[in-house]
Amino acid sequence: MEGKDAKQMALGLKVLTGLVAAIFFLLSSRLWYLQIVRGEEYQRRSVSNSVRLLSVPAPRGLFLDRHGRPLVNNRLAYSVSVLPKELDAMSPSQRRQVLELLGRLLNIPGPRVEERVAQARQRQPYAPVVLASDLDARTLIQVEERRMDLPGVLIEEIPLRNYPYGPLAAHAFGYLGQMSQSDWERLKGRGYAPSDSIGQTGLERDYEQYLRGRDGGQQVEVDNLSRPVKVLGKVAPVPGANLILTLDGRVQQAAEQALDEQLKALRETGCPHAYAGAVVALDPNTGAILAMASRPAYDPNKFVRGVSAAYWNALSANPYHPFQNRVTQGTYAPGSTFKVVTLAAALEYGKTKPDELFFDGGRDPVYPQKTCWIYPQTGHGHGQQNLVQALQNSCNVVFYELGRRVTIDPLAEVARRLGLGQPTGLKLYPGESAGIIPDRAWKKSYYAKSAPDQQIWYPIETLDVSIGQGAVAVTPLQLANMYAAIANGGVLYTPYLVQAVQSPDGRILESFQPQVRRRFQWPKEVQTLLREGLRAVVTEGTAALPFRDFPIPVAGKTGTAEITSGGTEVNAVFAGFAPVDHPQIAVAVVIERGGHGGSSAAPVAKKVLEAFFGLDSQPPASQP
Amino acid sequence: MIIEKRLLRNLDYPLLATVLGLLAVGLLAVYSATQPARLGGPGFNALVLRQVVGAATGLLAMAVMIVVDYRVWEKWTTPLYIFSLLLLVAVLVLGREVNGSKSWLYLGPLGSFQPSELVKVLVVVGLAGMLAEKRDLSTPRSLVLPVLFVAVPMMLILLEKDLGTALVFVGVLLAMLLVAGAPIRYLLWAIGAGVAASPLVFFFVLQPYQRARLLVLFNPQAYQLQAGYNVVQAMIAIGSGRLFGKGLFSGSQTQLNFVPEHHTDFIFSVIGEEFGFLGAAAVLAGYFYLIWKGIQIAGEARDRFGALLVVGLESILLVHIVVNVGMNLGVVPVTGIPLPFISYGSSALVSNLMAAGLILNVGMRRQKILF
Repeated sequence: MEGKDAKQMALGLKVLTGLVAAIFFLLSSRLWYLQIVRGEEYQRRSVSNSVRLLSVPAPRGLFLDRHGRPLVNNRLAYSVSVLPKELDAMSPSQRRQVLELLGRLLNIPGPRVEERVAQARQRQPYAPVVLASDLDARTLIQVEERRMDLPGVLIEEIPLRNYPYGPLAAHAFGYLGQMSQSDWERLKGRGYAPSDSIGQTGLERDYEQYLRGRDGGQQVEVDNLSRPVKVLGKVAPVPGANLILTLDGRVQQAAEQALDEQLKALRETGCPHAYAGAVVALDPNTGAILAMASRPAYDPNKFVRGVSAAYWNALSANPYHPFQNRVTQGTYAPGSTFKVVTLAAALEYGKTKPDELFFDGGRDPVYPQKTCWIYPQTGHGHGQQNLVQALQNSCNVVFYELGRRVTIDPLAEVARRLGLGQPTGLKLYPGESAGIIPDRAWKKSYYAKSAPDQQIWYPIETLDVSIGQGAVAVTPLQLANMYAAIANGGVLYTPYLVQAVQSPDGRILESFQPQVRRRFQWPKEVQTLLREGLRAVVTEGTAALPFRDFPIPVAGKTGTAEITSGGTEVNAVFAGFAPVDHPQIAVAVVIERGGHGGSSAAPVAKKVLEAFFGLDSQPPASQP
Repeated sequence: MIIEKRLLRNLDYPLLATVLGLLAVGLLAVYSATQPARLGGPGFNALVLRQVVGAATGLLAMAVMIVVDYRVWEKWTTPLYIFSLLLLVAVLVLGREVNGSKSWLYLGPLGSFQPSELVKVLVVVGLAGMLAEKRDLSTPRSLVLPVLFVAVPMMLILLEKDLGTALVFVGVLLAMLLVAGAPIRYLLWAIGAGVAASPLVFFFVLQPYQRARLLVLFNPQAYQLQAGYNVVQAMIAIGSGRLFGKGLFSGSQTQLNFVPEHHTDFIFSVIGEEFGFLGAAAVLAGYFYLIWKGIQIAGEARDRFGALLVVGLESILLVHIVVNVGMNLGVVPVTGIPLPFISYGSSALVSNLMAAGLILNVGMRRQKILF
């Protein structure tokens, strides 16, 4: 190349060389600055980028029935949480964007998300805040797809409470709910996270400490989408202890199904308000509850991840109060099922003899306005009746007479001794109702603020009590427990629902034995008479129709109890036990506004007995 | 074509070794960057295999470029230039859009091909030919034709929405005009005008995401979850590598996907994280040697065409290196252009190796052959 060209070119190349040298010097300096000067800081950040400490929630203890069949278990679900620490690292606008997007995907209004994060942080500033604990597949995919736009958001697999049979024994099992502020204050430091759920009622609440288990933790390496890639260290969670219940899953299912079907059938045939009822069955030899059903009920599954407002409102607005456990909290006039008390009292106090004969002319001889139930239909009474026949036919006039002879205070005393009018002692939240067994003292205190003449006990009131009406109010559980005591010959047990608490590895942590609450020594003839009478009710009396051809000898008593005096709607009641000679099960059924005890309540009891004795043809219900 | 043994004696072996060394580092880094997130041990995958095939093809192309006398191309500049434009038009018509840029041609079983990579080299060949004949560049008018020559393909590439590649042409043009003898003051004016126009470009030409990428540079932390995410994560990756690096396959930022696009645009952060300052600085040193040596070759070239050709090719490499490494280090806005010889991508690899072959060729023939 010639002179001028070459000179020009050499100049250009020199400029270029200088430029290149400067550029590489700058790049190398920057490299030095990042890696050597600030290397330590970046290394720390790369570690905190990729290492997380996550809690591994423990599965809750199972509920097993007496045969070991799980009635309540857990299932795997996906939860979405946000890590508050990472939200802090964001600018306000990014934070808002992330929370808004998350709220949109999870269908929670944006401000609510902020609110929940703030709430949870007051409790535990650095714990992940669970926003949704049971994602459906679609939402899960949507959240996964937007992972890039959702830094600080964590998707975890968690065990979630599951009630495979829905509302089955809902009132006994109870439901879970998020801790309230006061719950948190109480339970803080006992291994709870602020967003944990705890048992709100039923056994879930009573045995919370056993059921809960201990959350584990793991240190995991996560990728850019907070997905765990490698577990660096792990403390395994300890599952909660299982409850071995006294319930028999099959009997429970039969009770629920029979009650539901009967209520439906009654509503279609003249009892338009038959929406509520209760069934309870127990082992008369121990007090162990075999089945406990209350209607209307709720589905505890709907509470597991926070109950929806719609479901909650529907339950709250239901005039039949689905949250009430009618077995322990419903109080009803026992009606004719109470007549065993009157009879036992009369015999015990020597006011009658087993072979005494009575005459029912349709009306009470002293208070003719008190009639036998048969009188309005036929215009006459049951005629001559012995005590067995009186029970069999539920003859009011005979029991008016017995009640009059015993007088109210001794009658009430016997009733209380049989466990009526007071809690049975069952350990189950919420507490039982006591019910009412009226006597002189009761009336005086109840009407303490009224005129003195209203505080006096009038003999005619004793007549109402002697047939289980008037102010008498008992719970179905009291009723069943009393019939159990009659069945076993005079031992009143404290009913119980939990046989044992079993650790996940099978050790028994606590076991519960039958507890005798009271024994009463009835003469043999009293026992025999009661059994004979109750047996006659089922063979020839008011419950004969539903129990026709029933292969196991059943004893029991129907009741048709007025709700308010003179009202047209009545509660149907049945209480009984079987087999008569060596009773294995006692059962009580109440159907509110369900009509007659014999036609409405007794068929439900029959279904329960069928299931208990394995007479139902239906195969054991399969897992849903 | 047979090549004289003497020519081979003149081949710049250190330069060749540098290119091969960078290529090897690149394959290793791509291999590491494409490991599936911590599943089992390292294993080969389709991406690495394709990169190896790309490297082999590129080495073949480089060999051809070394063997064929570069002066042959001077006669073919016009057809090559027209071919370039046709390729770019073809992309616009037939191409498919990937990541917002329409810069790919699909060649059926042969895979896909990014014509702009090849066009960069072809335009340099053409411009070198034009400037080699045009000896007087002292008047503004004399600059019009070279500027237009570059502007047409650049516009076509801009239409592909590939801003990064288009900007490479600006650097190439300035460098080649400088060396071809255009007065420096003109070039400074051009740069000055560009700077003056930048606010207008910023507000009216750039897309919002491009504006964000610029803003990120001033405060990456403030944007670390959006536009700044890549940059911040890349800086964490590089910084956390410190002096010795975390070791191959052990960079948590890379292996756990914190750094996006880590086998392509952000491959330098993989090197920084896993090989440390020593490794990253060695790569920079390699690049510096490549450019510095290239400028020397240009200075010793036997003709004006050769010198300008080498300057053009070197400036392609230089712009890529500066923009790519700068973006990894958080000092240059994020634009999707690959790191020469290292980033995953066969089109760029083949084109860059061709460029290296041409540079070596010019160097090899620096003197008249003595018999």
